[in-house]
Amino acid sequence: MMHKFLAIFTATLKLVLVYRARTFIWFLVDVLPVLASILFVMAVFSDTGSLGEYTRSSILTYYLVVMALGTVLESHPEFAISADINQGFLATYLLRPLSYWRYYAANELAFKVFRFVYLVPLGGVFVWLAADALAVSVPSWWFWCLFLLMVVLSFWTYYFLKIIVGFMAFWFTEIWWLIGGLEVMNLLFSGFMIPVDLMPVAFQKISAALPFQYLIYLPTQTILGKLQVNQIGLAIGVQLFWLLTIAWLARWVWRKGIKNYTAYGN
Amino acid sequence: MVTNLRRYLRLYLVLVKTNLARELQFRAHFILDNLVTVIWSGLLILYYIFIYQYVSQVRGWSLAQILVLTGVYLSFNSILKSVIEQNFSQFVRIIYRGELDFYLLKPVDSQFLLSFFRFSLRSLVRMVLGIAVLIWGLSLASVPVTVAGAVQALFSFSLGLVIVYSLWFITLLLAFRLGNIDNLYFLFMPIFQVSRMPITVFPKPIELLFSLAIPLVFVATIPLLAVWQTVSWWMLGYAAVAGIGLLWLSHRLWNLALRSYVSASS
Repeated sequence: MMHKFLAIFTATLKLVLVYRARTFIWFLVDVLPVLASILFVMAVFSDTGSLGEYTRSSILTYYLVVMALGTVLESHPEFAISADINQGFLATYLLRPLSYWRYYAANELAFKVFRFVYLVPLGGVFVWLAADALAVSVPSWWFWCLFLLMVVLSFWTYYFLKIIVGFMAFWFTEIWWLIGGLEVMNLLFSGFMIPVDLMPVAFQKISAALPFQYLIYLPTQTILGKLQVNQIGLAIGVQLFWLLTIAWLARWVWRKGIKNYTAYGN
Repeated sequence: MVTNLRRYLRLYLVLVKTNLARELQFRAHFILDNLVTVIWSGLLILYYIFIYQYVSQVRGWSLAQILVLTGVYLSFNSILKSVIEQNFSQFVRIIYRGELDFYLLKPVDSQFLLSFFRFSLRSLVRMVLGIAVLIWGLSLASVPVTVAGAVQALFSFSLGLVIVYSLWFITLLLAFRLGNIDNLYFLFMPIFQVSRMPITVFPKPIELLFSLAIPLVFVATIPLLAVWQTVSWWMLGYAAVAGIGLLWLSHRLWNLALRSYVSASS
């Protein structure tokens, strides 16, 4: 099982190395809007000393961590999956002795490894330029371990969420509106746009009832030292709940969809 | 010259009619796409509303002014998505697969045909929303709009369209060198998104970058400042120089790039 996974992972890495410019453009698409947000928020601090409970350095750290997490955590298998279903390529995967899900999981992991390669020098430059202004506050090494666990759970939750959207192509010929809809929810409630605790209370309540804030916002708060250990434990528990629920839902949608699927070919 | 212009205008009207007929075949997608577009636009407005809960001004920009800016940006983006984006999203594929022959063999300018062959109204509601936000912002700002101010704003807005078209087109010409980079058309988008923010609040070097080198300041910031007639004449003159200069450059580079084009057909 594992050797197949590794084979796909390696093959995708090689493919990504061939199309380096393509991967770099996706990286820029993720990174540049956050940099623009940082510039605007920094301008906000020219007129005020704090934004809610955030200081200049904590909000800068917040957006840099959000940028880094967004780049390496949010996967996009939905485009390829919907194309496979709509164009009939899915049939070729179904005939192979390989899980379709694992194929794209290996694929996405390879893409993320390469994204990380781009992220390291950029992050290094930021840390070098703004080392004094950053507000990373992790009291001990096991907080880092908890943070890493949160990151892993986030990656898989994103993955299963996105493949559900991709599987919608079993029923809809065009799913751009669904991709866009999910992206809007993600931007608003995961803390990409603005920290959740800076939103009005009504939005914070909606956010707490959805999985998104557990994907980016809470891991970032962990790095900023804003969460106590019991709050981190609770966040991980809720993350696990969402991961299992969404993974189960993905499996259910896949089973329903595959019954609905008809491929053409010769 | 005038006859030529009329001919191109007539041709464009025929293209628009054909595209609208095609678009109305998929009414459900048309409605859903517009719906998602509205939510996206709403997100942008929410971002500023959230920030302005904590501050009354950002480097002299009030919420009312920011709303006017957002209205201008949304309208601009709507035109861009309706008129240009549909074409540019096909650009790399057309070149890579050798489909450019179809455009080169027509008795019209190939850059014109490639840039305006498709038209879509999937962003129509964004335009309506943009105008509504613009009116809302203007009413909140309660600053009278003069005819001269409106003319100057329209002038810089139109040149902003020419500038963005030319810059985006130039980035796409990389397809002749890089080959099958299917996401090349996304390269300009995150840079363009900077224009949704008031560029004058950025640090001086970045303000200069987006005012002179990549003059995205003419998308929304300058049109807004022109409404209140706070733009210098030299800046409006620069809009004309940049617009005409970049359009000329895009055409020169297009002709240059065509020399390296080898068809892929049999």
